Amino acid sequence: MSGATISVKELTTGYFGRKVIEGLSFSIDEPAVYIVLGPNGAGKTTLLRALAGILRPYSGSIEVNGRPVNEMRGHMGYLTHLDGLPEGMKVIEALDFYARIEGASGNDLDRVCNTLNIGELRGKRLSQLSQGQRKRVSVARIFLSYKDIYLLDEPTSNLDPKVASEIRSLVLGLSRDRIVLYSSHNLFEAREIGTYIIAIKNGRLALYNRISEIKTENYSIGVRTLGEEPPGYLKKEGEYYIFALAGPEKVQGLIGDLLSKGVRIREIREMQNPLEELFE
Amino acid sequence: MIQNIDPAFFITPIAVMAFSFAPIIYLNRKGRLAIRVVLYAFVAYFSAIAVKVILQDFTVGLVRSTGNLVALGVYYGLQTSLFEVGIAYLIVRMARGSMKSGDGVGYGLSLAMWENGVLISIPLLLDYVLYYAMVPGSPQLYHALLSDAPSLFLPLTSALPLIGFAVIERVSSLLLHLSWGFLAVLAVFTGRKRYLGYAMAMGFVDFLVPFEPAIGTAAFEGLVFAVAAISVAVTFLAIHRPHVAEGSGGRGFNLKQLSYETLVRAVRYGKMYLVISIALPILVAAEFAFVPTKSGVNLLSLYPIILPLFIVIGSMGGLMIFTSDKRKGVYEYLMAYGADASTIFYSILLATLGLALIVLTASLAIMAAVFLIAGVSISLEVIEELLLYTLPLSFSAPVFMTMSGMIWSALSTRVTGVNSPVGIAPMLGVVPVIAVFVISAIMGPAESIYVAAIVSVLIIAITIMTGLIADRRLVRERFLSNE
Repeated sequence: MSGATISVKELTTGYFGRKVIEGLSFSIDEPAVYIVLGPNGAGKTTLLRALAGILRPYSGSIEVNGRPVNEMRGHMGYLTHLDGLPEGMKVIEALDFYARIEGASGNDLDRVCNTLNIGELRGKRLSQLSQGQRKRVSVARIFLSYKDIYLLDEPTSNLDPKVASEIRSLVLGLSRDRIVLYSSHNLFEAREIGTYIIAIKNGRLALYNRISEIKTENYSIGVRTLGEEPPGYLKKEGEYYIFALAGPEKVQGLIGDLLSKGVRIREIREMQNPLEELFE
Repeated sequence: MIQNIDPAFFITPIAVMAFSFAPIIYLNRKGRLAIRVVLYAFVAYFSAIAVKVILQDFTVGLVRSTGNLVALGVYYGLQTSLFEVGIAYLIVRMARGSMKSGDGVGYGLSLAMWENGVLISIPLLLDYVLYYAMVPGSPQLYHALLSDAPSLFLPLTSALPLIGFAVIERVSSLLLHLSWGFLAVLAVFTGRKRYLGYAMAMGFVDFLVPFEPAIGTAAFEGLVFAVAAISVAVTFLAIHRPHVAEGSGGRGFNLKQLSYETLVRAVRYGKMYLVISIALPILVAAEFAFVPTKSGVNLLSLYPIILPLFIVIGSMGGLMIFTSDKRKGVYEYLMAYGADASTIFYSILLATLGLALIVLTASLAIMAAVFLIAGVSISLEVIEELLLYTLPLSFSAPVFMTMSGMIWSALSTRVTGVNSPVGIAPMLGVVPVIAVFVISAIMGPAESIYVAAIVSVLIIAITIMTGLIADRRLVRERFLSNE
């Protein structure tokens, strides 16, 4: 157990004096995945940037392990919503660039390459990678050295379900003895890996609770395939085959079932998210 | 016939007053410079001048009588160091309760304003206005001035270099006062005496004063400006000492390391520009050396004049890295690991200087080889061109270009193609070089080297000042991606 803590008190911050987050307070003292949930523009990225020490509070405070956040940067791993990969480099050079910043060794580099299956990409230029490969390399940075706290800003956005699932598994592995703040607007992700939800609406705290205590009725997802018609769908809306499920925790089972029946899945999206009512 | 003085002489005091007062007014209006800080600088500066005047009144004759220029240099240097810098420091110490650590730039600029804008320029402007009004009706004044200040009656083409040197001298003074004023404040608020040591060493610049008649005005002003530029660089390095990023768990990174990383990447990322910028000088040098002109004049002496154009092109990599890293979120990551906006900003500028050095070294090697093959000896004129024009502009023009592009990129949303900062910046970079061509063509070849030197110095001064302003204006949010 790392014993890490985060304490956010009456935090107000934003950009160029314009407030995006206002009077936000919460505290974290238990290793788990905390899903920072909210619609676009709610302030999720701003909150993570403030926690990472990039944006400074206009008022209020952020403490990590009881100390001001800018003294504790080395204890936190941060993944931006962009891939953050320096152009003009090969994969191994980019990882080496970040390894030098992290103080990671050659062994750490090898370990990360094995963990994320990017060994075969090492000699490739970043410009030659697909979006999913870039994301994997990007995610690899945060595993270069061990941290008490991880701040991950939409790490699975725009990824195919397989890579997204791999990344979620890695995050789950991290959270056994560490604090992971994971921003998303996807309740399926939240239910799959999260223990707590920190929901933000208009820059203010809308909900901070255990996910297991949130009701998830009327949950449905849309599956887009590469041409096959999947069995058991409820109806079709546009290109999406709609499935009604008991909850987000059932999504992984459905994917496995469809794949085993030869359905090639192109995309999965939530069609009806019970959590949306939190933001209404 | 009585000849009046040329009104062009008004340029010196007016220009100096403009760049002395403008930053003070700007900082004050932005709420970053309190009037009391300007007044503390007034007390510091004029106390020092009073002490120097009194001391020199009693002792300068004695030192001069030795006829030893080194002794006289030490005499002047020590006084500026001890009194101007020392008193500036003491005043900050006494006023520390009503000043703050961020007052350094304002305090330094205020010291410069009292010297350049007030003590020197106001009396000078009044003198020139009076001369201009009275000389036509006063043969007595005309003859007195002709005897005491004959340069006032030089033709415009001969007077302009003198006016330029006078302006450059005040630019140097501004940079020196800014540096030692800033360091004095830093020394008081950090308690580190080494900053005071740096500042006092800068005050020793007046050691050069007695040597001006011997080395000539151009060389003297060039030397003083070089000392001033070095002073700014020392001040910058003093406040950006390599340090492991605050709170970093790993080795962290610092300006030196980040600059090196950026330079290596800029070489790779901008390699096409580098290749072009090194290939073009080969073609141009060959053309100049081996293609005969109608007049039979060898054009190789023009080679140093166009070199900065190629260097601007070859230095594009730094700006390309900046725009790419900003857009892709690399800087967001670096800031999360303790890099401040200033470190990122200066790392790009240092990488640009590195690129400029690479292209310059290659271009000079090509030049030496072509001169050798063509059997043309390198004349004094070419060396003068290299020293006074090519070298300073080869570094200042690319930095000016990169800084303009960075400011533009940081202040704007994403723009691609030729309208992007990377598309427009090279055009800004060549403006100083083109300006020299145009002004030299108007002035004639005899004065062109002075024009070139003056433009180089002005570009360096503008670049340094813009850098200092941008350093403060480019807040952390400016380095985050808009995407």
